[in-house]
Amino acid sequence: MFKNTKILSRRLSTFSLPVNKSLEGIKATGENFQGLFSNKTINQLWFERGENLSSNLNNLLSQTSILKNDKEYSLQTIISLSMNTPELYQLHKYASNLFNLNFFIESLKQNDANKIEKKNVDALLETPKNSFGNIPTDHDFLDWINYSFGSIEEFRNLLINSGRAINGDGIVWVVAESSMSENYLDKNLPQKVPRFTNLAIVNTYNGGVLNDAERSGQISRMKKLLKEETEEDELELGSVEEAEYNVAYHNKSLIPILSIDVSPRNYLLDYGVFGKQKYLENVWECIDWDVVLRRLPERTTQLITM
Amino acid sequence: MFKSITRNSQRIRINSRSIHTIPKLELHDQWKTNGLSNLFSSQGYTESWINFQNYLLTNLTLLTNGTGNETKHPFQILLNTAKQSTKQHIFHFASMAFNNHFFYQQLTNQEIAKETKPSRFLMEKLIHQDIDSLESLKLKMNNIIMNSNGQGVLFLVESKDKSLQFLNCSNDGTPFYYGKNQILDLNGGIDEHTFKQLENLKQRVKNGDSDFNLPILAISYWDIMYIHDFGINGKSEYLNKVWDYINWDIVNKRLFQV
Amino acid sequence: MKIQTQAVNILETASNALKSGLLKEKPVWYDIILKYPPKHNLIKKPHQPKTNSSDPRNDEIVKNFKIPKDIHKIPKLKFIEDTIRDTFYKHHPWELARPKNLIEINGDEILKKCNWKNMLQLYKPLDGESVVQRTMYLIKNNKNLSIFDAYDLSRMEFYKLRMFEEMQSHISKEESIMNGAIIELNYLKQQMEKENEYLKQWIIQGMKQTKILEASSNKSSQVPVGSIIENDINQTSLFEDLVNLDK
Repeated sequence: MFKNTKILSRRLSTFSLPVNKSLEGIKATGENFQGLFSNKTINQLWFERGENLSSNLNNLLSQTSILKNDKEYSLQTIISLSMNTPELYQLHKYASNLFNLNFFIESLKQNDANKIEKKNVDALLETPKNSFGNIPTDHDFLDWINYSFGSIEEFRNLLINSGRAINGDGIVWVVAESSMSENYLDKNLPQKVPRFTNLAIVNTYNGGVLNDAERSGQISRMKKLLKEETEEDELELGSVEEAEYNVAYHNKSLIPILSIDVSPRNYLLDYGVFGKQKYLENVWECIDWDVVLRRLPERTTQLITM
Repeated sequence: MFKSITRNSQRIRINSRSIHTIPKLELHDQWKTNGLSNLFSSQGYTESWINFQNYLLTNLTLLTNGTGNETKHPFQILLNTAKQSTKQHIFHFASMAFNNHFFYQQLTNQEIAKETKPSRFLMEKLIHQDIDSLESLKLKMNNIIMNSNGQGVLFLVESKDKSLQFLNCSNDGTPFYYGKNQILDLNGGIDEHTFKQLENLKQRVKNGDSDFNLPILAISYWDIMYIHDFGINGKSEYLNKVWDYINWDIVNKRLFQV
Repeated sequence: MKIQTQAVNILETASNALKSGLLKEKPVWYDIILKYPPKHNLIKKPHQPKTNSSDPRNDEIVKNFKIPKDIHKIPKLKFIEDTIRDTFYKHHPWELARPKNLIEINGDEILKKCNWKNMLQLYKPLDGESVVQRTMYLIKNNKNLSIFDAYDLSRMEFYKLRMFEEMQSHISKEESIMNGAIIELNYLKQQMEKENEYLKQWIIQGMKQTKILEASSNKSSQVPVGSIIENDINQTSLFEDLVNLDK
């Protein structure tokens, strides 16, 4: 699934920051990441933070016994393995933060048409503009966007709005969504192949991971585990709470194709506290659609939804 | 009749529409030009106080004008909106405006801060938390913050029985209402401990429990506090410095006096 | 009634009313006015230009001006803003359902503080009026823009801002829940709980009725199965019972 992620190699229980050629160049020349980050920001965001995360991760990995020495683990596996073990909370955070960082930066390309500028308080009153560029050229992809969101304008609006509305740390993802729940697939289809019919936008907060299979049903599983005696009324139709959990974690297979990190560290230095909208608009112009297309699973145009 | 008219007109005058403006700190002018020696440069101070507070309050003004909350203080607004599922964005700006102000209120210049220290009364209470010196309080609080992810404010609160506790409020969490403390992390795996805490909270909400916590000390670890002076990864450096600027006289006074 | 132009006549009118019995008692002011009657007519008369006068006001007056007959009628004021406002609220009736603060000290004070360069204002909530004012601003500052285009532009801006606020509200809630917040007042939950109360009653009633239905169908098992008359009786009685229970 994440073949193009380069953090796969793991020797002697260590992960290292993948080598990103264009970023190495920026580091050497001291130039800006055109149209999005100043040199200072990209240095701290990618090199310093990335190295911090990977060295902390390696440190914790060397202290745990969850890994067998003769096997190679992907970062994804580490994230899933550590997720439900409270002792590995920090390890899990480092691993998912490292994964998220790479996933975000990987899909960016420079675009010198944008200006990196600090905004002042007046920016809060401005109505976001409608003009934008960097529209994906792939026809099938555009068609899929139109099918799922209505139009490219609506898609961009939704993406930017979801990102801007996050108050603390967080990431907004564009995902390909399987039409059927994994639970259903397990039971009914022997070959267990998810079919992707829809694109959707999902948020995760505070270094959360985008993995519905791991997250769905956690609360109900925990309830069963603790054999909690809940007063259940036979006549009750179910609560809003249950419905919300079931919708939020419906255990459909999600494949992320694009992510935007909207945590304050990404925009504070270059755009200031008032510049989140500008930052997001710039990110849009810097999305490398080729990378996004490579991540895209095959589309199925069927109508059954479960 | 005349009396009631004048009183009414007075009330109207107080209620007249105004926008939220940044509260004036005692040493504002000095800090704006010189910063706080090793903690904030003047730019760091401008960004983390003037601009950030302005950002929060302007958003608060935009979201509350023309509503029942328009004439209220951020503190009142945060209490008014904490329980309402559709007003959480308003809560965010009100609560953060309060938290940021609360944090800044306890700061002072290094020379003045050096002269102050936690009162004996405060230290006696901290012993119940296995903290026997200022140094170990620092260590404990810094440790909690270094192990937290994302944005937040770590509060030392005085609870109903007058004992002291730590409340690590993620993002905009408020120490004043348990339903919105935001001390859990449901973003990754949910373990048994977290689940039980969550269930406990739900039960308290169901019972309509009151919350009597009062904050005594706050350490903000929002990125904006350190990003300009210590960099994106400067959290620990910032945490080591910030303790030299706490005016303990103010913190001591926040404690319930017998 | 004809418009009374002469306030001086008040004493005369009141006396007549008293005489005819229309007024039972003397008004309190009657004796005072009788003692000190108004000396001159207080009604201001429009200036009548005289052809040979050197009065400077003459220059201001259009030649052959005639005082219209309905000078005392309040003229119909027509503003383009009203048309836009009507259109907007006709198309967005739910905007009227939003609570509006009616306390205002100085009518246009707030509008004077606003700068319609942007739609969002610090002193005024975002509402239909914002669309009206923004449309007016656009027309004034862009001569080539038709009123329809200007209205459309500002309407779209309005939607954009509303959408963002809705997103903010939704995401802030989701984000704080992910950090362990419990939000007490959930409107959806309240609605559903209310609905459940009624549904529960219906389920209980339904179960009762099903039992009766089953019992009576057992009783009448002598009658050939599918007897139309039997079925019809059952159905009407079921319906009646439900109606009675509901009362």
